[in-house]
Amino acid sequence: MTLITVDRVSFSYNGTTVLHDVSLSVGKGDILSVLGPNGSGKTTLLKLILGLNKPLKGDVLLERHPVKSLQPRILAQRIAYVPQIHHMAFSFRMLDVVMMGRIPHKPFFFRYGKDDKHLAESAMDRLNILHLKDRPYTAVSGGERQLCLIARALAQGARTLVMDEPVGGLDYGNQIRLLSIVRELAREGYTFIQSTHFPDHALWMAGRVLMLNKGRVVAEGMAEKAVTSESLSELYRVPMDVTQTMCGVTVCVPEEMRG
Amino acid sequence: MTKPAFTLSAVTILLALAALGSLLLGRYPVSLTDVGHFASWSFHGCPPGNGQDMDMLRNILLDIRLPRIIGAVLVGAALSVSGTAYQSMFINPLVSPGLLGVLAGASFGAAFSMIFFHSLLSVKICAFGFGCAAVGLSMLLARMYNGDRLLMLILGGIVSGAFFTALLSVVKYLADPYNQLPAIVFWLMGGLSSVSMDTLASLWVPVLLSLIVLTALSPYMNALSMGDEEARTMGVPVGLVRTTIIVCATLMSALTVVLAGIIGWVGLVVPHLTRMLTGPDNRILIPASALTGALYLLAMDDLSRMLFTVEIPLGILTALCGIPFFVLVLKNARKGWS
Amino acid sequence: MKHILIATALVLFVMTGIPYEVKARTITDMAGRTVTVPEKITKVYGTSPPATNLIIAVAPGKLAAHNTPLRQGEKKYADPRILNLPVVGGWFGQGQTPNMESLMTVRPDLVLVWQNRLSLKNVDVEKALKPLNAPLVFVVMDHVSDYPKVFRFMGKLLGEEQRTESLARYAEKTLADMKTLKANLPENKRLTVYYAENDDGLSTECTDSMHTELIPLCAGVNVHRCRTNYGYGMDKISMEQVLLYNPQVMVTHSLPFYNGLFSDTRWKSIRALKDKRVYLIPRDPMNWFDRPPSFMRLLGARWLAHCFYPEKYPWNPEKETKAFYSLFLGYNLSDDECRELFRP
Repeated sequence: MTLITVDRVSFSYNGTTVLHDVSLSVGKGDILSVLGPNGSGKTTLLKLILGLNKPLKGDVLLERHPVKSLQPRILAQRIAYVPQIHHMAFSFRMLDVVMMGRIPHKPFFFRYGKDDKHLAESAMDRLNILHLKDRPYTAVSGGERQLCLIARALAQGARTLVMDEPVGGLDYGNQIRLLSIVRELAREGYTFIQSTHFPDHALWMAGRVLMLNKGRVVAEGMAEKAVTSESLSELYRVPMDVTQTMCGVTVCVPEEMRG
Repeated sequence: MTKPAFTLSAVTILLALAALGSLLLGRYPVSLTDVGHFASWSFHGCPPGNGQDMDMLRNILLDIRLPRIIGAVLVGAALSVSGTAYQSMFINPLVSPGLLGVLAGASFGAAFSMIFFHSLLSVKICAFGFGCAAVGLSMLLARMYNGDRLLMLILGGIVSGAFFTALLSVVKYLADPYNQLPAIVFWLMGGLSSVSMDTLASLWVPVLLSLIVLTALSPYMNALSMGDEEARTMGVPVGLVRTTIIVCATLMSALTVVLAGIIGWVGLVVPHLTRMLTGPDNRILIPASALTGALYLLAMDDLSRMLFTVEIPLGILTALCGIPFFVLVLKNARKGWS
Repeated sequence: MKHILIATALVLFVMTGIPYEVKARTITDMAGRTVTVPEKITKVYGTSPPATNLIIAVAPGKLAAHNTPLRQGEKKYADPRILNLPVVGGWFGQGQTPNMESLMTVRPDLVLVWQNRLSLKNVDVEKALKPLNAPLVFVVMDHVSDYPKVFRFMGKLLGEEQRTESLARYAEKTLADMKTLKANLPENKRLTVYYAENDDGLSTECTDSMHTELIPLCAGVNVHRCRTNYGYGMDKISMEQVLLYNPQVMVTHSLPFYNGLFSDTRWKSIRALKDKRVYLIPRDPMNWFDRPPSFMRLLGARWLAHCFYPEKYPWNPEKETKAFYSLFLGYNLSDDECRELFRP
């Protein structure tokens, strides 16, 4: 069943066209990884899906409803955003950050109730960060911050999570821990759309891949089909080799490294 | 009792005590017994001494000190809350309520009225009107260009503030140097000496309403300090919330100018101080900074009227105390924001 | 023989290219400086409003330029000869300076400087005016009691002795009246006076301030007992301090303050309010009391003395005011205009 459809969307920013005629569709429980070099339009595409950018041509549909016509709070109940780890001016407590996810379920003037706190705490518990709930967000590690933002997305009750380079800035161990959480959640029926700079991760998630280059879709499909030596070499303009290891895992290796 | 609840009640009690204490403070000697006599006289109608004294006491306590105390509480709360709201909304702890030009506009309005119309009411109306107009101008300027809305607002505020500051200079230049110019200069230094019950009666409602609205919007301020786009993806109607915050903060700041002239630094220092007490969560920070702001300005005003026979303009005092305080706060502020 | 000599001298002047030399004389100004001034002075520039006002009183036709544009109230009473003079600025207020080029265009043949014990910048004025190449004459008028002397000095300087003699006599009469009034009033019978400045009425001046000179002159006692430590004045003061002073009389120049005063509950306990003894200072063409300190104070003193002690100092406001305006300003007040002056 198609959840999100991007239908021949073009978008331009200050007269420069950033996306040309991009189409894609995401089903429930999918993990879509958007690959592409810097400036290829990945973040723009994510923002279009989140309703933050309005398409110049074409449409983004959430179950046949144009995203641009949905109220922010209705959209927020369905799609949550996990931004890149950012610098924050104020050191909110972790729990306070997760609680913000409850806003779309509240009337315009509101106070958080007991159930909001409960939902926020159980989202934190789900990601094993409940013990950090009273710590300032600015004082925990990058991985914990990312988990905090995912917990917020879960508390938001949305079943689709849009993540902008979720592993950016994380150490190797945290990257892997994060990816396995994403896989786990996807198995539970959560849908993920993420931009990433790591084709290996796309392969590992066993989801679908969309390759963007200069605002155009250059390849699309299941990760193991779409991520090939040719497509990667072309996309990043670096000779790449996609091979299977002896234990059956597909890896991407720069040709230069193979000697 | 949770920690924020404890902080809030402690500050409330302190504020109540300070307000009562301020009733006893002043150049005119009034003792606690006098106040007791006065209270019993007002409630039971039996003067313990002679009636003449009671009239004088009523004059001092109810006509002179009470409006000043209420004025200080309102102005202090209004300035700190607008400062806090702006700091959260602009994701910048160095922002003050004058960011969008409201103080520059109000200063110009008051000065303009002082030289062209000759009534106290017109000064108030012009200060309020031009304060709002200056913010309107910066919002209009911000709309003229594409780009980051917050940044454009700040730039709009700079332009609008500079414009009205320039107009103020023109008015000062045109003013006659004997009476009008000093009147403008002294007015700009701020002070609560001319606050009367009549003025308060017409202003406390909008100030209190804005305070309530901003407190009600405080959960959104948390979300807004994550950035506009992120807030939007959390279902926050960013434009509506931001406009409401700006309108309320502008209304309150402009009304403080009407009440007390230009009082600087309160809207910058008090939010910091409060954030150190309560943390950055606006749901507690907003009401807490209203209370601390009120307490701070009340103390400043007591100093202003007590220190010498001559009154030190309140705006000078808040700046003199605020700046070193700010230096200290910045040094220790890593805890509240980094 | 005499004619031939003069003719020869003239020819010599022309031949040697020496410009026509005006006849000059040497005087000692009020600061004790020796100054060479032209024999006939036609254009005098005052460096600040008090000096300019002095020129207007003594010889309006000889004023070279204004410091500030004339206010509406001033225009009405102004001598037609000064109505259209250029405005070149001056040294006054908060660090204002004149426009030197406008001043050079005006080409005054004399500059009048008010030497004030508080204005330490006189030296700067001298330096700044050097390119003007006009003699600087200093006058001293720190006190109302200086007026007779100042008028006579100006009369001699500008060749208006006859006029200034009557002005000086007027000043002497005012001073003598006040002296008599004071002599008849023992210290303890004198009224306590609060001078309310600014639109909130909560600024005032110290006892020794030149801004409140008329209060002691008219046998009043300024309640704000202190020494001024700077020239500008306008000390802020709290409502309670005024209550403590509890003055018998209040004087103010602020119309908004005066208008709102009687309905303001904060002021009602003060004696001056209870006795309805609050006086609004007439302000056209210039303030009769202060700001700017001018010769209007010679009339202001008589008005104020009458306000303070109507029995001890009987005074006919219409007659006296008309006489003063005619003598000092050359303006014949109508009855309506006269009444208008006193109306709040």
